[in-house]
Amino acid sequence: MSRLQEKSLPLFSLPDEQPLKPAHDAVPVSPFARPVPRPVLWLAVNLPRLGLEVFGHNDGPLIVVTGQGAARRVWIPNDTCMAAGIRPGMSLNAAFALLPDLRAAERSPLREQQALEQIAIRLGRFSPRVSCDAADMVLLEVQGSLRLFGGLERLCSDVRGVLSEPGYTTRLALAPTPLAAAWLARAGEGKPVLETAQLSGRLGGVPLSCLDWPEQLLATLAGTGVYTLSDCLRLPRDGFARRFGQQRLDMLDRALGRQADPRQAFTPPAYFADTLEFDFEVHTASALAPWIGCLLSRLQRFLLPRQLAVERVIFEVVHADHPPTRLPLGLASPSCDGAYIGGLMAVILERLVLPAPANALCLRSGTPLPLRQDSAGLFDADPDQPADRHGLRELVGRLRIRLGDAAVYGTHLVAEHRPEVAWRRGGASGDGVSPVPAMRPTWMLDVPRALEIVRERPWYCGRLQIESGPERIETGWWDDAPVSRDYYIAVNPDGARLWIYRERRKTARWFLHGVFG
Amino acid sequence: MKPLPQALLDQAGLWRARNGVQRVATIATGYPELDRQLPGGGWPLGALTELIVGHYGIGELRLFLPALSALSRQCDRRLMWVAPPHEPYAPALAAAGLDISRHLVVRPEQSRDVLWAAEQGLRSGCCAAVLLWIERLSGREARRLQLAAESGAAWGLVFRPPAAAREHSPAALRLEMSVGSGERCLRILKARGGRPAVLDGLQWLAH
Repeated sequence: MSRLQEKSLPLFSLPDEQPLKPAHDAVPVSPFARPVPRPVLWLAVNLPRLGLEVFGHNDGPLIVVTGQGAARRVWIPNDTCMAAGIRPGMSLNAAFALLPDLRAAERSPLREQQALEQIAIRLGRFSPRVSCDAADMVLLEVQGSLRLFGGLERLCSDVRGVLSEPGYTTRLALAPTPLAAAWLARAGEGKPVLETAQLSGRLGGVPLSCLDWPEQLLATLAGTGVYTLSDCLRLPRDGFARRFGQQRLDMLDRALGRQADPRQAFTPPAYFADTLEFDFEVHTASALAPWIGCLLSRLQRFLLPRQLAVERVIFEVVHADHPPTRLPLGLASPSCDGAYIGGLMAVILERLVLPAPANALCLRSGTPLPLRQDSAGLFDADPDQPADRHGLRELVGRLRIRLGDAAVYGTHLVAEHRPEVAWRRGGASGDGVSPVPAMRPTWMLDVPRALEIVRERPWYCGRLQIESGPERIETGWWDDAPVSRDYYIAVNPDGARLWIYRERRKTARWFLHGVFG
Repeated sequence: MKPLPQALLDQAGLWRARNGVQRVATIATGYPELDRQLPGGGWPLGALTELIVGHYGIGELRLFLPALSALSRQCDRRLMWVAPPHEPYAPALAAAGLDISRHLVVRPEQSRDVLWAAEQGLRSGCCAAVLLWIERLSGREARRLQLAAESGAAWGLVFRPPAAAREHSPAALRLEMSVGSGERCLRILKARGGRPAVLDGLQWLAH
C-alpha cells in the first residue's frame, strides 16, 4: 500500500516556482499567457472556546451543553468546572453530581456567529481577504500584509493582541492553503508551514478529528486503523474516493494544494448594529455611560479600518416592560471618533430620565460615509488652527444636540437686492459673496412689523422723523415674493434709528423692517 | 519690613496691592476717544464686557463693530451671537467689515439654555467673541460667564436692560449707553484697573 501511495499521491509543485523571466528579455508577452499565481499564506485563527466565551468571563462554574433532553452532554466546561473534574462529553446529570451549583448554558449558535463576525471585522485591518466559513475559525490571507505589519511574528502577535482584549482564547497556524491552516490550528500546531512542499509532511500528524468530518465516518476510519492524516494519505486514491466520496478526496487535495480552494470573502455588514445586554437592571441614565463607551469603541473599530465615518447614530435603551427609549444623535460632521461621539452622548445623558429600568443597550449607525481627514501642517506655524477646527465641531455638535439643529446656524450672503433674501441661514461655517454696498441696518426683523399711523405720520414709540430716503426697491417680479417698496431711515424720540418702508401699492402701509443697532 | 510667613502667602484669598492689576489683552475699540478712557487702551479680551442699554437702535452694536470686525479677520475663531433680539443682518455686518463666514448664531428656544450656550461658546476656545442678550443675570451666573471667558480667552459681550445698572457684576468692564435730548451718552460704570467716566456727545459714534 505504501508504494501505491507514492504513485497515486505524488507531491505537487506550484507553477510559481518557475523563475520569472527577466525584464530585459524582450520577448513579446502573449495576451493569452497564463498569469502566474501569487504565493499565498493563510493565517487560521481558531477559537476553541468560543462557545463558552460568548457567555462572558465570570469565574463561577459554567458549562455549555449540547443535545436534547436526556441526551444533553457537556460540550465545553470552564476552568472552575475542569478543576472539579467535569470533562467534555459527560452527561449533564454527572456534571451536576460533581458540582451542584453549576450554571449550564445551552449552546447558542447565534451568539457564536455574531461573535465570529465581530472578530472578522476586527481582523479586517490585517488583510482584505478574510473568510469565516467554519463555526470556530477565521481565516486571513496574509502574504500581502507581511511587509506592512513587519513580518510574520509581529503580525501574529498583533493578531493575538487584537483578540486578547475581548478575552478570546486563540490558536494560530500558518499554511499555504486555507484548509491546512485550519486543521493545523485545530490541532494546535503553531509552527508555520511556508512551503507547499512541506504540507503533506507537516499535516501527517494531524488527527482526523480536526477535519470537521462526521462522527460516523471518523468511526469507520478508526475501525480500519486510520487515525491521522498520514494514515489517510497512505490509502489508494480511487478506493478512497469510492468508499468515502469524491468530496472527501477533493478536500484532501485542496488541503495539500493540489486543487484550488477559492474562498468566499467575508463582507462586513453595511451598517453597524450591536447590542449589549446588562447582567443587572440599570436605573439611572448616567450609569449607562460605560456601556455607551464600549459600544462606541466597537463602532470605531468597525469604521476606522475601512476608512468610514457616520453622520448619525441611534442608541436604543431597551426596557423590560416599556417601549425602548430611542436616542438619535446627529453629528455636525461625519466622524468615526468614538470619544467625540461619547462626549456628545454625555450631553444627552445629562438630561435623560429613564422611564423604566433598562436591561440592554443597542447602537445602530446611519449610512457610513467615506472618512475625510484633514492633514495637519508639518510646521506648527499656527498652533491653534487644527485644535480649533476640532473644537468648533464639538461646540456646534453640543449646541445642536441640546438646542436643536434649527437653533444653531451660520450666515451666508446672497447676491440679491431684496433685503430679506440677501442672506440665508446655512451650515455653521459659511463662505460669502461680496456684500451690497447700500446702507443697511444691523438688525433685521424676521417679519416686517406694521406701523401705526398717527396724524398721517408713521409712529413707533413716538412720532418718527424721516432722516433720509427714499431708497426704492422694486424687484423680484419673477418669483412668488415681488417687492415694491420705498425705504426710509427714520429716528424716533428715543433716539433709535429705524429702517422703515412704505408699500408702493394702493394700501401704502408703513412697516418697520430693521433697526440700526 | 519682615517678610510675610509662607503659610500666609499660600492663601489664595490674600491679595496684595503690589500684585497690581493683571495685564489683560485688549483690542482697540476703533474710537480713539474711547480708547483713551479704557484701561489697556481698548476692550478687555478674555473677560466680560457689559453694555446696559435701554432700547435697541441707538448705536449699541455700532460701538463694537470695529473691534468685532478686527477680531473676525484676525484669527480663525468664530463670533457667536446668542439669543439676539432680531436677526443680525448679514449684508450690513459684512459691509461693516465683519467676516460673515465666521458667524455662528444660536437662538435657544428656552431662556435657561441661553446661559448654557453662551458658557459653552466662551469656554470652547474656538470663539473670539460671544455676544449675549439676556434680561436677567444673577451675580453667580455672571461670575460663571466671566470664568468661562477667561478659560476660553474669549471676549464676552453682554447686553442688559437698564435695571441691571444697579446690580453688582463681576464683569471687567461695564458701560451704559443712553440717549437724552437727542444726545447719546456713554457712561463707564466700572472698569477693572481704570476709573468711571462719562463720554458725552459721541459725535464719533454717529453712523
